[in-house]
Amino acid sequence: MALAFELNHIHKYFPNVKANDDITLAVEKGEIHAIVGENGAGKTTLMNILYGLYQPDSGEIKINGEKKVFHSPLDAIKNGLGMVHQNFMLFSKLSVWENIVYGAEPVKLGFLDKNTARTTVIALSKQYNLEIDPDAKVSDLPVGVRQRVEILKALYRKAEILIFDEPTAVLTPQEQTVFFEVLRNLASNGKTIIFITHKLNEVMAISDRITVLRSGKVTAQLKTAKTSIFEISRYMVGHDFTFNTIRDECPIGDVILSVKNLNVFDKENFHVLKDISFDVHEGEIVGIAGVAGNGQDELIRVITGLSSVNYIFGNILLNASDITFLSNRFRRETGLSYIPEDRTEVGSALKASVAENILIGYLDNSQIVRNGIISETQLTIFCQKLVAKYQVKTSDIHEAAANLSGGNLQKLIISREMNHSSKLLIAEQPTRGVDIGGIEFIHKNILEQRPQRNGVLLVSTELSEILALSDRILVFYEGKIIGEVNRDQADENKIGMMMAGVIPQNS
Amino acid sequence: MENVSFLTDPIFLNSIFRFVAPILFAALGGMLCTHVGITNIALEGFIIMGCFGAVLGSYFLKSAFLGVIIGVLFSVLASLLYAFLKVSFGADEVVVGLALNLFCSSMTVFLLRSIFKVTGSFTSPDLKGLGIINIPIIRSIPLVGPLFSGHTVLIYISWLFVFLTYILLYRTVFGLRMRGVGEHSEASATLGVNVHKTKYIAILLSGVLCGLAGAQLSLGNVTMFVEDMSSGRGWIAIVANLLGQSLPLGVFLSSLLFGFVTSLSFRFQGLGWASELTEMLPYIITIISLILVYIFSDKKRKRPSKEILAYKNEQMNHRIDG
Amino acid sequence: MDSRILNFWKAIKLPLLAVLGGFVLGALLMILAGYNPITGYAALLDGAFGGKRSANLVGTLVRAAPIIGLALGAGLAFKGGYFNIGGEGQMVLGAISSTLVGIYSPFPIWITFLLSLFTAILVSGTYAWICARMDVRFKIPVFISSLLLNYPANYFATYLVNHHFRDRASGVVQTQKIPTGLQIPKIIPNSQFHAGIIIIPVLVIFLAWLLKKTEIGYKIRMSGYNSKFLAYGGVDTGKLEMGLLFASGAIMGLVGFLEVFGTRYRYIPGMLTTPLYAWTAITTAILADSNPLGILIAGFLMSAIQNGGYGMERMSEVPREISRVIQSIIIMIICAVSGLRGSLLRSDKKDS
Repeated sequence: MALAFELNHIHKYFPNVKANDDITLAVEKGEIHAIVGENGAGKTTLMNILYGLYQPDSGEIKINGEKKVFHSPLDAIKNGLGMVHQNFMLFSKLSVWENIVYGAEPVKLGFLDKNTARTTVIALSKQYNLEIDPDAKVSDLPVGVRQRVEILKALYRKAEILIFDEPTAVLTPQEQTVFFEVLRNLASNGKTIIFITHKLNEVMAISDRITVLRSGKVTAQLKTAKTSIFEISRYMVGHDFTFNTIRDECPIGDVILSVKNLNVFDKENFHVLKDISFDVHEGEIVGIAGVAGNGQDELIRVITGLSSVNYIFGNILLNASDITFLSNRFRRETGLSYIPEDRTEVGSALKASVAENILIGYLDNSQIVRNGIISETQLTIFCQKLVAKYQVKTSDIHEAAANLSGGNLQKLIISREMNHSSKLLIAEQPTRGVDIGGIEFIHKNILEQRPQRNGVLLVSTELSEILALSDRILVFYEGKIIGEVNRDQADENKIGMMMAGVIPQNS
Repeated sequence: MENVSFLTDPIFLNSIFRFVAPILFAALGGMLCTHVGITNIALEGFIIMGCFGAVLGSYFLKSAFLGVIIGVLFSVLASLLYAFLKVSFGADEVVVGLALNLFCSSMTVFLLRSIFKVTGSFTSPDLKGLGIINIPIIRSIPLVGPLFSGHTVLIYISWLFVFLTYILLYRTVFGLRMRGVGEHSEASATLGVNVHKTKYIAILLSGVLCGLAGAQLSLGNVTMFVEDMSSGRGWIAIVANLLGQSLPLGVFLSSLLFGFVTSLSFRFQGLGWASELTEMLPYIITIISLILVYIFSDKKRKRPSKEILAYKNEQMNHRIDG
Repeated sequence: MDSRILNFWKAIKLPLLAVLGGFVLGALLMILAGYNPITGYAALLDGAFGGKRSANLVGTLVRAAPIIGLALGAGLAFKGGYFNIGGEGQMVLGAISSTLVGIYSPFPIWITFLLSLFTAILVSGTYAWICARMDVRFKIPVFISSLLLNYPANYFATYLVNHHFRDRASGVVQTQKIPTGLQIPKIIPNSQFHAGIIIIPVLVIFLAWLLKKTEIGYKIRMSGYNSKFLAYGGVDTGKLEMGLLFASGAIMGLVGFLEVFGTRYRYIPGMLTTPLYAWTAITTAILADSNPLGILIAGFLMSAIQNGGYGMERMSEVPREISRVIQSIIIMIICAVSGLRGSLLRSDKKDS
């Protein structure tokens, strides 16, 4: 069978990480090929290289046996590649046909040939069984249909190889079924399909072959018919080193945070959190595991009071107060600290100084702020102590926070938040970008919350981190808590499968 | 006491499109910029450059037609400067607009004094203005006649441009690409469109249109150049564009509205009506319409699906402003 | 200590370059138009700072007061990341409302004086506050609403004077004079330099202190850097925006009040808009990067350029507009370089 494309010995470096490490992959024409892996495994980077968005540091790309170099997506498109990104690149105010022909418009007598464009689009949609109204405005279309527009865009440009990045992430179950039909249809028409996903049951349902990536390397290449979810997740999940965390026994106390029947509809009225209920107790670390994009973000934002969604149903209680619709300020005063995922856009103000970045958390400290006036000396003393205690490497607390390295900025934010020793600490990806020594230090501090009778809600896409720290693990999948596992029964594989959407038969 | 018979007075009717044309030209120019994602507040500056250039050209080249050409040239030069700062340097839209306005207004006065050696205004019997064109047959129809006939060629051209801009935006490849650039420039770039070039062209086109607006003011409405004779029409044009939702027909209608209100206020000045109050109208109307647009789109976005309604009936809830 | 000097130099580099560039290009323009830049600039300097018994210098200071005042108001909002360009309208409403209170108030002089001042601040503060409210509630960017509201304010003030409160006796479109007891005395004889001008440098120091040393100043500055960060830290950014814009507008009203009660003693339509105080103030604030002390210097500089322009025209042949041309070139250089650097006000996508 002819090879649609080959990626040979692809290497790609980014400043702190090797995203693709000697990846070799060959896909046949007409094949549906799945690329799976956890967050940060390197899947999107690899496909971006194939599509010309990035250039590999070394290695080669072959299309139909010919060596190619892509300087931009335009080169890739010319060679028959098409990509449907996770975040659609559509013009919502334009119509379907305008979106599809944009950049490659048919022309008649110097004018835009609307008729030819429309008929071409209609013909294309019939040929591939992709029902579409060419005149509809994209903003009026449901997400599943918008995806079809993206597909038609690629097909219009004569794409033979179609790449999908997390295609079912925003689709409803019904739309997903339809989508699989579309894929099968495309494949039977001779198109080669690659899709990136973390959802293993989908992989089993639709793909011919699977490549598993972990930490930038290929860990397995499997024939779908001959493998199982268990095997795939074994290759997906795994860690490069074990966290050496010493845990003491710690009894659980009262309930600090109680989430009851939380149902949330986001800005697009998408049902992003489905009937979420759980508690966090004193002395307990609750870990939320799951691939990014399954509702964890929205959950944390709703709990911290920083959300902008359309509808919230249910209750959130913090220290017995119903805080569901109260301000973030009130929640913080009631006993909440929050280490956010986005450290540069949310957790800090890069142009401000280190000291100013700390001050935001201590405006109610009567030593530092007296009658609305800031005492520079007290602030300096306080910050220097804090920075020393949490090992933040900074030469001058008056320097801009932008000068700090990523890891140090993270430690700065952590120092500010954890110094409160609040009843509830919410930590999102707390050790992302931090060196090994820093990770150990941060983990030690998180664990120390337990004997202080505080509770921690930990969100991390690093399964190993969740496993090292949590007393209880909740696994999120498509907006639901798909499973709950206690520490002593926690098993990497089991959790990995849940993260991929598979409910275990026996707990 | 109000005598509304003036509404049928041919002089009044004839004045309407004279006031509409400059606003319409400039608003169409602003519309093109909006479609590439630029809020151009330098229209006022472009217009005054057009006013001056037109007088300069007509005086020295002894022809109104050439005057218009020079007026357009002056305005396009100003727009080129604007584009250079905004697109190539990435300067802040509002600051650049304000700077250009200041530059154009002071530059025209400076040139007025340097070249013509006068202050305040310049006119001369040698200055060739735009002639009035009377359309046969139409001119004799009561009411319609004075309204549509007896205008300078530029006023007729302003109507033409409503169609031309429509065709440009919705019937040409370039227009489609413009609209894509304005909405999602990243997507446009990945599909092979030169975003910078597209923005430059849109801005230069607005320069052309504002130049025509200025020429109509200094060679059509009157035959002279007066300092700051654009007197806020550039700002009204911005408002007309906002109110007209950046659509050619909408812009035409709102320009018509504001032009009509202006001619009304001129008419009423002698009769003791408060011209100031009528001049306030365009701005107030625009703010109200901006508010209404927001409320409508917000309601539409939050319209609850069946699923959500089920929850609403079941339990208490609050909607959070998203 | 070292880093403070470094910071100062970094802050001053661009404005300095821009001013230099403005004057160089201005000289070029003069040459092209057939004027002698050397005599021209010499006349400019004299027009700004010289004159009989330094009369021109006094004039420069007098003009600088409203420019600096308005720039402080605008700069305060800019610092928080909100582009209040409605200073002209806010100032006019403050001026007219306080004038009318001053003329028609039945209360004793001292109470009336305070009442007028209070009215100016309240009215213009509220007018600016409206823009903030519409941003919070309807997501209408402050720069659009404040810009649009300039004109109704101006027209309304003119309407009031023209049709209701005209001083019939004088035959000119203006209000009566405010009672003599309310008129702020002139400090320097034979000039427009009145006691109220002293408030301006006081205001500069106050705002500089406020921004640097107080909690509210900290919140304003952080809002300008990253308002998401503030919200994350528990600060109500909506309330901050509304309060900030009220304060910004209030300062504009104060300036309007001082111009009426200190220089002309009546409201004359156009007295505040013809000299283009508000627009010069905005360019001043941008030149000084919204720093109060910088605004003091930049405002004085802008006033000198403007006042010097008048003198330049008297003594040499160069039209005084060259000063405004130079001002605009200065701003263009600044925004071009800032554009290259990536941001002028905020990296947030808040406005526009």
